[in-house]
Amino acid sequence: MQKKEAQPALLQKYLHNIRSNPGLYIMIILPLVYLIIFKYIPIYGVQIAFRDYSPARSITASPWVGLKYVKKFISYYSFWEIMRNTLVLNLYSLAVFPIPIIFALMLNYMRSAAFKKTIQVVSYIPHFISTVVMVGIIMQFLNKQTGVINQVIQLFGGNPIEFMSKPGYFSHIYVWSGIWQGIGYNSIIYISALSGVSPELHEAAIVDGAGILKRIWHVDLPGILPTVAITFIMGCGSIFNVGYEKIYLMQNNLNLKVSEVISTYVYKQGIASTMPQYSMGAAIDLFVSLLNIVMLLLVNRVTKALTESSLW
Amino acid sequence: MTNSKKYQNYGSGDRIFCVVNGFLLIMIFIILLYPLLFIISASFSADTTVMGLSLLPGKFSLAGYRAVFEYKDIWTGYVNSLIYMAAGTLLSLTLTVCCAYPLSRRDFAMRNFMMTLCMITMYFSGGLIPTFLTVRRLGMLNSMWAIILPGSMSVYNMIVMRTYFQTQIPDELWDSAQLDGCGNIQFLFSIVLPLSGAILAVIGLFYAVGNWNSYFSALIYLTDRKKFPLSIILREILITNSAKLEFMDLDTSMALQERQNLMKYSVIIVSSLPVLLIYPFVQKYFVKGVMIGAVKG
Amino acid sequence: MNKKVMNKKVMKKKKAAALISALCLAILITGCSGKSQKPSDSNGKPNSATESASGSKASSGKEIKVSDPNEFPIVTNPVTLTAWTGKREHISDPKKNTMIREYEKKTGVHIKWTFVPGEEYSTQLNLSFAGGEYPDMYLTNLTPEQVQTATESKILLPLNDLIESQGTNTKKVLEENPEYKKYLTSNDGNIYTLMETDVGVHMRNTHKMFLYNDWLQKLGGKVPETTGEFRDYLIQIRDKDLNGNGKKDEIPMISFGAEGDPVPYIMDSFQMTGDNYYYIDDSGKLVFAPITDDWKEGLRYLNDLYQEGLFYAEETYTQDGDSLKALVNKKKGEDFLVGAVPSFFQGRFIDTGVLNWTDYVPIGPLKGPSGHQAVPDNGIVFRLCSAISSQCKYPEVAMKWLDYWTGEEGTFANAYGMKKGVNYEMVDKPAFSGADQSVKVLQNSYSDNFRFGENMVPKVDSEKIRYAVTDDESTYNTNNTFILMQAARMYESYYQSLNIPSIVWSDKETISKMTEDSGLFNDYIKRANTEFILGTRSLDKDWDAYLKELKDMGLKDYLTVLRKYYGAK
Repeated sequence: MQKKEAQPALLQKYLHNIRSNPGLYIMIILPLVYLIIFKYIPIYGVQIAFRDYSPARSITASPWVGLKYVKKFISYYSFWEIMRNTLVLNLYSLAVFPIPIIFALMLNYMRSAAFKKTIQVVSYIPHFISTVVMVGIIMQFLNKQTGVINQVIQLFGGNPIEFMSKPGYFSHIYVWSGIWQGIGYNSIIYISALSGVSPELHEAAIVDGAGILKRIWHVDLPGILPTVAITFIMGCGSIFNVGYEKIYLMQNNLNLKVSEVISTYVYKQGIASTMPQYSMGAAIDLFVSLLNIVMLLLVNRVTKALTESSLW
Repeated sequence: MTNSKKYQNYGSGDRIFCVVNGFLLIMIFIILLYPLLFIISASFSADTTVMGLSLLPGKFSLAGYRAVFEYKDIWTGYVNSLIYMAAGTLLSLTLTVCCAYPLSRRDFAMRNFMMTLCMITMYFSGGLIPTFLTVRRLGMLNSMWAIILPGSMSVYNMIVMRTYFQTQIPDELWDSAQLDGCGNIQFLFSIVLPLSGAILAVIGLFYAVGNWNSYFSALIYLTDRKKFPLSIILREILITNSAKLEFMDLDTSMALQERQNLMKYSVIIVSSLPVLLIYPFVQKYFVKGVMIGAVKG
Repeated sequence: MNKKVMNKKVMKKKKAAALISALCLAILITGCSGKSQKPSDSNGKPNSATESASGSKASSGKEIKVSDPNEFPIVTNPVTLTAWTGKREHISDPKKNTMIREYEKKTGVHIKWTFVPGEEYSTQLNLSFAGGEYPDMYLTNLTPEQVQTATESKILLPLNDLIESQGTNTKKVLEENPEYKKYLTSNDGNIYTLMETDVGVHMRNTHKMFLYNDWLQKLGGKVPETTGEFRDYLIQIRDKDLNGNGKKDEIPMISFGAEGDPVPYIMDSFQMTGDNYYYIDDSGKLVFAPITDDWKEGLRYLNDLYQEGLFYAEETYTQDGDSLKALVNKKKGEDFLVGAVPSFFQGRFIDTGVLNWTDYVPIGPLKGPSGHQAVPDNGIVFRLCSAISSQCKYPEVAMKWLDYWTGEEGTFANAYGMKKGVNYEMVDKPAFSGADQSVKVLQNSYSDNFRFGENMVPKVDSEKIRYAVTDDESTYNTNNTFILMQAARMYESYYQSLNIPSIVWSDKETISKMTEDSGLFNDYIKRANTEFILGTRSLDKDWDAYLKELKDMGLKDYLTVLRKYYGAK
């Protein structure tokens, strides 16, 4: 009895909602259609992961092989090494997540507006350096013979180090060069959020005798917490994606055991090989997506409990 | 609320903070600046291979820039990129607002459904070939639409915008607007958008930059060289895939390598300029809103 | 009041109507897109007769008569064919490219070009295959796998009969070179592509050693011939302060990148191997090199060089080309640093603004302690090139268009240009090939836009054509022919064939397992090599663990798949 009543109630609820908020529904049509056409229709292609796809056939004409490629990936000799490397680099990148926030806060309290603007523009530039040139610069700076870093080390009396040859340094080089490239660009969102923090709250805090640090802790941070939370959750949700290009260019024989990640492996098996493995690539992508989703749901739940803001 | 008002109540603890803050920022500034100066210097240098600790170019030369200006494809690439960026950003912002705003309204019944729909697309995608086929079916191959449409709404950006709408537009505003008989759409145009300068600027910037840098769509959908964006031309010059070099005949690979060496720094400078100039404009919008007054009043 | 309410109701109805119609539109669009996902039916034929997009603009219905063999133009009525290729550096502007225009005049065939971006080539090709509409000709290199993929869906036309009827030059080449025919023939017995060959001698062995000549002369001018002598030579560079600045800052041996890895060069003195760590001996047996004791000794030799500070291994395996160039290209005299560079050829590490290519001279392979001295021979370069699609309306025309390039005249034209007197000139000076008359190149390939270039149309190279350029000392530092030949000559007498065919046709399963495994093993072995050389792993203590790991990774299966792939024992 209850179910029967519930169903028409739901429908009623939707119709009523449409009638009272027609504008919203009209608005949402645009993105809805976009999603359907460009995201959901091609989604039928996800089945490539379960078929033996060859580009000259259509997808449905390719034979169904089930979990063959997923199994193949998991049983790959270096599978655990690859997973570990991917995770390490990602967690490390995530751990330094607060740095752009701190940078934004520092800028926010910089007195000289001119200096503030200058630093901002300069910090924003590295984001636009293409990966190829970026890696080239990294290699030149770290070069044992001629690199700047080693010259500075020698100035302080140390011995030059061939950084790129030591697997131990790889993750640090990767992450910190990423910070250098991204600190400015990533802080933009926080600067914008900080500018939305009510000045009244600051005034009130000052009247209460709070110094800058206290104000940061009690006014600014809570004010940008939703943005931080969302950005953090989203970051966790792509924890298994590490872009291949920068790592691929930084790989060499000596650091391969820490530098081979999922995306470089897929790249080498896929496009770079003479026989692109679309199905393998799709299977791995799917596998990675699932891991990401699990991670996302987990972190979302935790963040919700801790901060009351979350994606859902 | 001007700057001076903010600073007049500084105690000694705060002054120390400012000094330390300033010092740290200067250090960060130097670390950020040094490699950039290196690039600028290298772009004016005849041979990029001889550079030590000093920042002055080994042999001053404009050859790098001359090569860039003479490479005709760069200019068509530039114009194309600007067009794609403008059109794409406009399209993206519209789509994003049309999605983020309804999702931020608590009285929108389809909220959770739509949100889930969006989130799924972040993780599952058909992949290269099905998307390609869809684009082809729509007759968009080799056109601007293939570049700006498929990726036009980033769910990530949409969520950030939605969060902003949810948290930065106080409920009191909506309550008082409703009392005045204002509907959702009117609220959007008369109150929300004017107060969302900061987020629109930021998300707009993200889309603009994303569009400017994007190359993959152009790579697979465009065959007419006249439509190529700058990013493709750039990659052709910088030859990311060195394995290809070995496959080519020696003379070609040497010529390409030489060209790359000559142009790699100057091309970065030339191609990044427009985007760099956007930021100062965008910055204007990061100003505290006047809305608090509206609620109180 | 009533009116207002009425209006509101009307407004709401209008909005509802708009909503519904928009939804309908959405469903309509998605419905349409949903239906036509298949680019072609299971036979691979285009969906409809009108979909064949070869774009031949010739008036349909007119009979196209192809002229007799060796007669040009090919057709009397103009025909347009579509051609697909990747960006070519030599063709800076297809509309103004001399060769395209000249050849069109010659053949009467107009080409509608598609130049895909040079990047991600195989993706582009696959997109073309998946697209359902194929160009008349694919003017590009293809791998056997790509050909097999395409033929599965009948994208390419079998050329056997066409070669018979229209391929006069090709027929001749195949008769004279039966192994070419074998290379071109796919598993199903058909030929789908023509070929591109390159007889450049420098390609037969790409791992060479170069010594800085000034110091070689200073040390007496005797080129080291054994591994022991080479070691002593490097010691002298390390210790004798040859640049005269009072510091022992000289770098005996250093390089960069895959080409700079000295392992293949040194293995000339220890253990025969191909680039993928195996080769096929003369009895047809597949030999896997990195597990032998000779290999171990070769690594030991390099490890010793590293420990003695004679081989800067760390830098070699990590730095990029710019860093190496910075070290090598110093002003001669006190600042000069580098004594020996393992590499492909001098162009890779010499900046001609600072040094000449001839400042570093090539030396041949060394004799190892066991007397081994053999250089793996890659043979000539042979690639599959150019195919005609099944959607081409005028295959005979296309075939004749392609066949020209296989002949001597075509190969020569693509190398030096079609317009004698404009692109090149014949002069009465000896050529590298030994001929009395030689070619003097008048224009620049890139800026003057007069060739197709490589990897596009078929080519059958010969020494006569390849080395037709004038042997003129003044060009020794600008045209690389001399230094390439000089280096190759050092290795000539030591060539040993790898017996690995240029083109291998196999089945999908085998190919995919082989590609996967070779990626896995090659990476591992490269890693292990460097670790042994740097001493991170000990050759004495860890060698057995290394062998065991290879076994655990599935070496046996890998070798089995390799044998199947090559048809070896």
